[in-house]
Amino acid sequence: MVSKVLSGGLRGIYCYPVQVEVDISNGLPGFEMVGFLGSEVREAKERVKVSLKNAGYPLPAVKITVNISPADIRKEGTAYDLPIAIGILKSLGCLKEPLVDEFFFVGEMGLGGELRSVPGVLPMVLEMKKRGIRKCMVPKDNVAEGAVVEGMEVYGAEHILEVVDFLKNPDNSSLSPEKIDMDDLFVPRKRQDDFREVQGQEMVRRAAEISAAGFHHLLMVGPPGSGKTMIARRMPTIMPPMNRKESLEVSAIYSVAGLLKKGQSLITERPFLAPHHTITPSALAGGGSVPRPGVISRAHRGVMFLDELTEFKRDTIEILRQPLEDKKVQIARQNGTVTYPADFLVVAAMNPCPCGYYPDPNLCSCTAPQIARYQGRISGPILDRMDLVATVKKMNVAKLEKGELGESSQDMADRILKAREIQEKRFQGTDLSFNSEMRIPQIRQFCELDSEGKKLLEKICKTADLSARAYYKMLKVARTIADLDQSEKILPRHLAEAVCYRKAPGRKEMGFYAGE
Amino acid sequence: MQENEEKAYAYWFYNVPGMNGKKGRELYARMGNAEEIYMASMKQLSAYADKKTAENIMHTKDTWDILAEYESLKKQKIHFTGYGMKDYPERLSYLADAPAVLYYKGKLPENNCPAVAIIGARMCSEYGRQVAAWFGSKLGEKGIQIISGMAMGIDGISQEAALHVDGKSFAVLGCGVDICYPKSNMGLYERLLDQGGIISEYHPGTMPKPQLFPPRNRIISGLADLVLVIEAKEKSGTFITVDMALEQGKEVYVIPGRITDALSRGCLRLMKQGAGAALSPEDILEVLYYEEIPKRSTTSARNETSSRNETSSRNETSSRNETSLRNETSIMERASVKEEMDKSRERMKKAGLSRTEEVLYDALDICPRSLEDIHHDFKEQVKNMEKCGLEGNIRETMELLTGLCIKGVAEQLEIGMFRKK
Repeated sequence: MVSKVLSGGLRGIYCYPVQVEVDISNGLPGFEMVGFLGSEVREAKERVKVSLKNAGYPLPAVKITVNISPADIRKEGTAYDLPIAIGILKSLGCLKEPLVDEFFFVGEMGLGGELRSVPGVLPMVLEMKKRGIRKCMVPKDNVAEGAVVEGMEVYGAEHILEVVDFLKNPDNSSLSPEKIDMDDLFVPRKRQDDFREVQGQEMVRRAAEISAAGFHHLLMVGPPGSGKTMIARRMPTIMPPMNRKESLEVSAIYSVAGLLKKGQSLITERPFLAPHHTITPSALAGGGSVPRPGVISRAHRGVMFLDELTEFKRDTIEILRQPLEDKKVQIARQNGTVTYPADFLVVAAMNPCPCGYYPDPNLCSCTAPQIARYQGRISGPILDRMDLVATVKKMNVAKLEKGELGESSQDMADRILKAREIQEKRFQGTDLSFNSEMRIPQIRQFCELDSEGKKLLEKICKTADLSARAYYKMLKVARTIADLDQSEKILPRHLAEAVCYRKAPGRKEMGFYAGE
Repeated sequence: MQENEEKAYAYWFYNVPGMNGKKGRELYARMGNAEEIYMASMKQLSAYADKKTAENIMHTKDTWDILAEYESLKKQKIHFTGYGMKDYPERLSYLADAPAVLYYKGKLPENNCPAVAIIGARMCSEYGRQVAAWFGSKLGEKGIQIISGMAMGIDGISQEAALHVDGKSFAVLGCGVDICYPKSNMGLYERLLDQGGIISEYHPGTMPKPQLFPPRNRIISGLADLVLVIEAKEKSGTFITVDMALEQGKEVYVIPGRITDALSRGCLRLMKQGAGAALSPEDILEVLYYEEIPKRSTTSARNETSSRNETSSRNETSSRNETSLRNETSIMERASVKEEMDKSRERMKKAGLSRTEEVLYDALDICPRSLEDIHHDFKEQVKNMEKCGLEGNIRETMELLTGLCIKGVAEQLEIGMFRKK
């Protein structure tokens, strides 16, 4: 008799439904599994056989055939153990209840019959909701992530017998649908890091604020030990908290990557990732024979901090170009192409020269060609995407001792939130959400200047020798500064501030005396 | 033609493997000239030279085509001169360790026109950059020949500035004259060919090597009447040139700076040891024209008597120059240093700065400062001011700074770095 059990497979962060078909027939006893299976899936045979025996259901000497359909997509992972076991029990006539057909099953099994966690439960449950399934049976460790999907009954079981008992007699079972209070999850937790601890550094503080408000990528330049890393770590604290949609997106990525902690349901805090500069291109972008999300996808909706930007290998950094443009990354491998979302804020830091103290002639011992070579290591296209460039100052220890505290993250976040709301309103009905994403038509539309502003802009262009790209970048930054100021128009003072964050072209070696 | 022949032989002679200035000059003194050496037999040679040298001389005679080699040198527009020849720079002929040969492109410095060597750090500050350009252009304008090493930083900037005002400048290289080092000074190299010259004692095609640079410094100081050090750290290659200059009996002048600036420490140390301080280009002109041109008594005593007559005739010509230039310099004196110093003030007034802008302007320096530093000083000042309507946050500072840039009294250099203009 053929039985069918519903399960799911993953492609990227998307799930496709999978039917596990089990047939039991007379003939030479054996256990066959078909359906383009990876080796982990084929090993399910032994796990299921032994665990069913240990759970009190020894397999009779019959021919068992398992087909996992669709049979033309390669299946990977251990999530099919539970559906195979249920299918066998069903075929053997041990589970006749129609309730089985209402369920979606996923889970790995141990030899004793215990259920173990698998990656990607959240996207699977989301997909099943779309397909009209209401009930899911998942390992206990995964139940928290599945349960956040509203309108779904998600059961978390620890042992196969628990599942069987429940299916046979749901009313008399210890299992019940997991309930999670979403509001509880989104209560902002008290953070350890706070911008309050950053003393002085007013330029870079302000740059960080603009960066968080308009999603402008930020480059910090400064000597070693000036607090670049400290500032970057505090970036998530001033970004508006993630909303539910964002949180689900991020959690799905972490779920697929198997990075959700046991019992963790959602990622509610913006990710902060700081890959080391020796990272390989495939670790950054994601990869493997079954492509797993890389660092850029794990930084989705959060901050990616590139410390020592000049030390990264060029081909590693070049990887970022497509994601920065498309907000997603495509990874092509033998088993197909997957797309992971990758919409992140780049916060980069670098020293101005190999020793780090340029332009202080008292401390810097680098030669001009050394400095030129050092700064030349940053890829031009990446540098172009940095809307804000700010210097970090070497801190005076005496001043640190005095302990003047700066503005707190909360105060900054309040202003930023307001600026974000203004942007939301502005871009309603378009596919944009931040000022930094504006293209030339939107810049023309939204970055209107009054006559005084136009005059100033003209003068700035004349004295600052702006390229077309730098010009538009400056306008976008000015728009965000105006939003932070809650000003509908871009005022001259906003422009005047914006121009200070540009990367002025490197100095000419031959300067003439100013009086000439 | 005869001179050419002499040079062709000398060119061969100094290209004999193992030949150097000292050995060459000795042989020269004993055998008369290179042609004699060429014609000499092995027996004759070994009377004057060691066996190895004599063998080398005999050997190269077979492989070296005197006229063809010299022609090919000329084709590359490289000129050749040797110690004792007519066009050999007179100033160098007094040196104890005068280079035996010189290759040059363009021209050589004129003997009876004053020359100043401007040297200093490659990695110079904005201050050094400005001073180098100022002195280079002012001295260049007055027809002073600027001698330097065409290096990055002070060297190149002062030479560039001199050429910019149609002055004359000469570079002494630590490699062959056909090689431009550093490459980034290619533009300067080309202009020097037109308006001055490129000089080296090394054979064409010699690649730059660290050990070749210190010896060329003696030529830089040797070709000049006065050495001006603009910026140098306490340990600097510049001191090799200064030591050479002192040995050669040249005047050494330095540009003073702040004692806390590493790049000024070298200059200040020299000043402490007795070097003159140049506060404006006029100070240099004064030394060159009003005082007697530095005597070479210490070194020239060691040289042959034959050059003495020439020296005295040279002093005559230069004293004629002095009188003609005297009027000009006195006019310049009136224009004087103070005007230069007030220049930026005036520009500030013309721009019509407000009170707060003036305060911010004072927080700027001619060396670039980071915005963070400028803001810090400005904030302190604003605190003490009444009714300025400022809160003292960074946004106001940035706004005012942009205003100063637009008014042309300040400029934005690299990110977050500003300076007075």
